Amino acid sequence: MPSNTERFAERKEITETLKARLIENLDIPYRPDDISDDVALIGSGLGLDSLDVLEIVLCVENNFGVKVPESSSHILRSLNTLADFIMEERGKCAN
Amino acid sequence: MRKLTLEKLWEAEGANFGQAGGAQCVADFGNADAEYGKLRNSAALCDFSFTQRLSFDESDGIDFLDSMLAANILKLRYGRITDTYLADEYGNIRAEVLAGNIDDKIIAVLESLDDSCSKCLSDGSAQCSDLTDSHILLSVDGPDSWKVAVAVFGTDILNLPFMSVEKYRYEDADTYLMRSGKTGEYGYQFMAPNAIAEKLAKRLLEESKKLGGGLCGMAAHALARLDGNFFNIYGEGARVLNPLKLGLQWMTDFEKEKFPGSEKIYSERDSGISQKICAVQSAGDTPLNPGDKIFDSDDEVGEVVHALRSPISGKWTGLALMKSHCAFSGFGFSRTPNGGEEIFTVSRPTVLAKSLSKPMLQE
Repeated sequence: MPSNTERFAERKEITETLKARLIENLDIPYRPDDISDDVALIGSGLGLDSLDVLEIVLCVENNFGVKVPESSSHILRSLNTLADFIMEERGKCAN
Repeated sequence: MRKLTLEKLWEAEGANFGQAGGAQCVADFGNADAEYGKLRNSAALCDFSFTQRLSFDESDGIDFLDSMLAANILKLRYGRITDTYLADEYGNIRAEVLAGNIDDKIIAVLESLDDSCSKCLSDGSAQCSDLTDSHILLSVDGPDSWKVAVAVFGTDILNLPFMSVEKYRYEDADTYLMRSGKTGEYGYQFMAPNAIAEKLAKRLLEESKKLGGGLCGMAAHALARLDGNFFNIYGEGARVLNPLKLGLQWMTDFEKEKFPGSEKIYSERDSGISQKICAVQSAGDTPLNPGDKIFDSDDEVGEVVHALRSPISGKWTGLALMKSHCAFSGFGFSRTPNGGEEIFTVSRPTVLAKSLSKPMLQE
């Protein structure tokens, strides 16, 4: 099996961009490195609420050029589920 | 070992007992997978009295707890709960602590690997009552658990947001209701004095059964925490003590000047952590076990620290401590140097809770 090292780059770029934008736009009191990719966005974890959801959706749409569907509760669970969605949508565009 | 107040009741229901942090707990009632099904589909009652429970007078307790815990307790508003941890002087996690502000008191519920852990809080400078032996803590979790809480305390409980606490009267006794479940489903914890413990437990069980639910043990909760993306001090916390590697920065207020272990934690934060927890699943039906090594090509990049087979996904799911530069979801790794793709990093939560798509009262 070849090393994954080169393929980590896209994933890293997405999660780092998400962290930087969310910290800036939602005034989250953490550094990017403090935010685990699996941390819950809503409720426990980062403790964001339903009002913040719109900001998260805008962040994804404006920075990655993908449209978040209306029924998106499964996408908004963590940074990782957001990154999965972005990579999947990018893959569809590439095909 | 500290025994459960309701041991006889659970024994009569077919409980298999285990231990959590040196205290007795119900491991299961004979079929952990079926109990997990009840938790994910209706309502499941579990005895959480293996936890340690303390009550502090708010007047001095709030400052004391703020000096001891990683979160900012001074900002804890009335009726709210915060999820944080107690660390030792080396910055290693000793207990996960849920602290709730209610009725001029701060209630602290501790899950720890050491049943005497609460002593370092109760022997401190603040007025503190140890409720561990005088009160029970029962948890009802599941998409229908709110119906159980409504049946017992009325529709007022529908106003309780996640991570909040309220005091109710039950059988002429003060009972605290905390909405702080750790499964991803709706979850309510009932803390009541021993005098009404059996009566309350039987009522909660009866109401759960009406909804197709029933009893569950900690094995079902361990699955729910793993699938639902909740920290488990008895799982990954038993092998990884470092809160930064565990991804628990969100439980920490880095603006605080000091708490036990903060110097070590802050210093490691500044220098960057070399390893991180990452969720993994095995290919096919091959079991994952703590201690299993993970390789990227010929480079050993991680080790499984906690794993269970989820009856919902049918897959072995676990948490691995990975080198930070490899701790990304969505990649395949091998179990041996230069082996095939046998372990995959995945995003959490691995199960989508039914409660997310089943709002209260909309049926």
